[in-house]
Amino acid sequence: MNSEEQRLQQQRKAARKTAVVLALVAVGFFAWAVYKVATHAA
Amino acid sequence: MSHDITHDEIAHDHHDHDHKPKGFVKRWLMTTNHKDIGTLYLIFAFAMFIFGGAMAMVIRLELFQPGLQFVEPDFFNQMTTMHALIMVFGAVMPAFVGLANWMIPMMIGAPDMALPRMNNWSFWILPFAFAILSSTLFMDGGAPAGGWTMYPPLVLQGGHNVAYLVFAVHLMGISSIMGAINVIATIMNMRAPNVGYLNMPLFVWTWLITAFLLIAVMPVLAGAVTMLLTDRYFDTSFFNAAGGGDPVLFQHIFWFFGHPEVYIMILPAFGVISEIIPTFARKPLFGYVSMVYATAAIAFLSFIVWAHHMFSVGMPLGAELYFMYATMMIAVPTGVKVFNWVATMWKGSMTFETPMLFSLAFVILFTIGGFSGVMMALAPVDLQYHDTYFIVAHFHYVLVTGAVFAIIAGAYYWLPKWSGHMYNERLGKIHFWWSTISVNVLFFPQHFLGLAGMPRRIPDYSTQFAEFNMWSSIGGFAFGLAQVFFIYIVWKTVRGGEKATAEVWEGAKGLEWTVPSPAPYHTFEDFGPVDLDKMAHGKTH
Repeated sequence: MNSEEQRLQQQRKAARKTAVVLALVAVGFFAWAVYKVATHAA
Repeated sequence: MSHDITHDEIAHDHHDHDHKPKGFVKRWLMTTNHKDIGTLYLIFAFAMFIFGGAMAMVIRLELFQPGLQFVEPDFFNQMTTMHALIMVFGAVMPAFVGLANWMIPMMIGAPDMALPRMNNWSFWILPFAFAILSSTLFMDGGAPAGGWTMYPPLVLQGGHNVAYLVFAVHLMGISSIMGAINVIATIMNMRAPNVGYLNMPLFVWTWLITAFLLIAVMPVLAGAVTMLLTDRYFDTSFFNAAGGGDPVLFQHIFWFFGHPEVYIMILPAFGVISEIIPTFARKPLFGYVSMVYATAAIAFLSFIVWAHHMFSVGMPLGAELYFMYATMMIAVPTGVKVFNWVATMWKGSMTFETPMLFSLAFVILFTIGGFSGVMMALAPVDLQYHDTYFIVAHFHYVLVTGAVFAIIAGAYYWLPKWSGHMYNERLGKIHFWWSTISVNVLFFPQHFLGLAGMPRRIPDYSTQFAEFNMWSSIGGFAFGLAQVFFIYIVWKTVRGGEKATAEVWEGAKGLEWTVPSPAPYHTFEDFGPVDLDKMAHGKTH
């Protein structure tokens, strides 16, 4: 594996980490919306 | 280039040995190639554009004359609701994702999107989502008819279409979020080694910011519609006043999603226009960095203005004042963009090929939509405009002459790169003038109808509105026909025609113009540094 291919592998690994963090952020926004409605006093 | 075995040479070498998968299933159903997936998104978006457009034709046919002529009022309401849902989630958003898939990896020197298998999944969820949504047209009780805003209690009074609507929205949301994650992961991690954030083309920047908006707001919509579902089927009362819930809260949650959604549909359009105008003005984009900051400012402001959609619902005076002034602030970064586009053209060696014509029309007509938006931001007068055809005119100027015109401009601009053939310029110009004249005949009279008091979402109206409605319908039919003509132009171009060069346009700058046309199946196999001089914004550092 040459250095460029190695760098590409590292980039893909970093991209997977970014994706996991962003997915957690998305789940957080979902939970926040449900929480805000569920705890809202009319 | 710093490697002088360049991207071009390697890409060219691989043009003849492009390793495309053989067979329809492997090539299209199982593809992980960003160009194939981009093509799938664009074809799907165009099919949905025609499907949603057909519904618009039903609406304009019924409104051609006062009285009920062709459809029942409930079916009319189904048409307005489905038209909006299909155009927003099925046409405009997937079209921009298609452009992102095709162009972002090429623009930043990446081999593909960062997560190619998820990319395939993001696309293939969409046909199922829209099959589920469209199936409601054939159910007892018909399709959702309470408007795309899905306000309770109205939306809950339909048949079982609510369950299908909510499931379809969930699928669209999952698709959008996965697409957005892929865009961010690609831009943050897959750029060529020497491409910094401030070397990126503006289309990439606007998509990066749009993707963050998507991740923030699509889950909020998903949460809101999930609670609608439990109110309908599991006896909860989140939005049911009789059970202690609050239907107005749904409106707040919906518009917390809905206002950023407007920018999700327009920021990538700004990116497309910011690529095209410098090419045909043969000048670098004026104020590149200010364009980036303006995009970020618009995105931030989009989160704090949602209640301007609900001035008439009743809220404290302080809240009305806050939302009014916050909304007006959006005019500032938007103005920065419009002035920068004009300044880019100033003293440029301009030519007026079809992409440039659509871009110029975008700048003028989107600004008209922006101005009517500022009018609506004024809380006291919004009570007059609310739920009238003035609103319909406003958002169609923003979304049709804004977002859709930018998509068409982008399609003409990049079609030679995608297909390897030049489109017929004469036919393109006919399409432009046909579309631009008819779209104004369609939507401009709706301003007058709204100011005179014609409500939106009704199949019948007072005879005083007859003439403007007739003009609007004639414009609508002509605009619809113009897009059928566009299919012909695209088909003709894909099938053959004058061969496109790698650069395609004389004034074009950017990595995508350094590879042959059509772009090779695997664009770059040399992942080293790129020549920043070849990037449109390569000299900002």
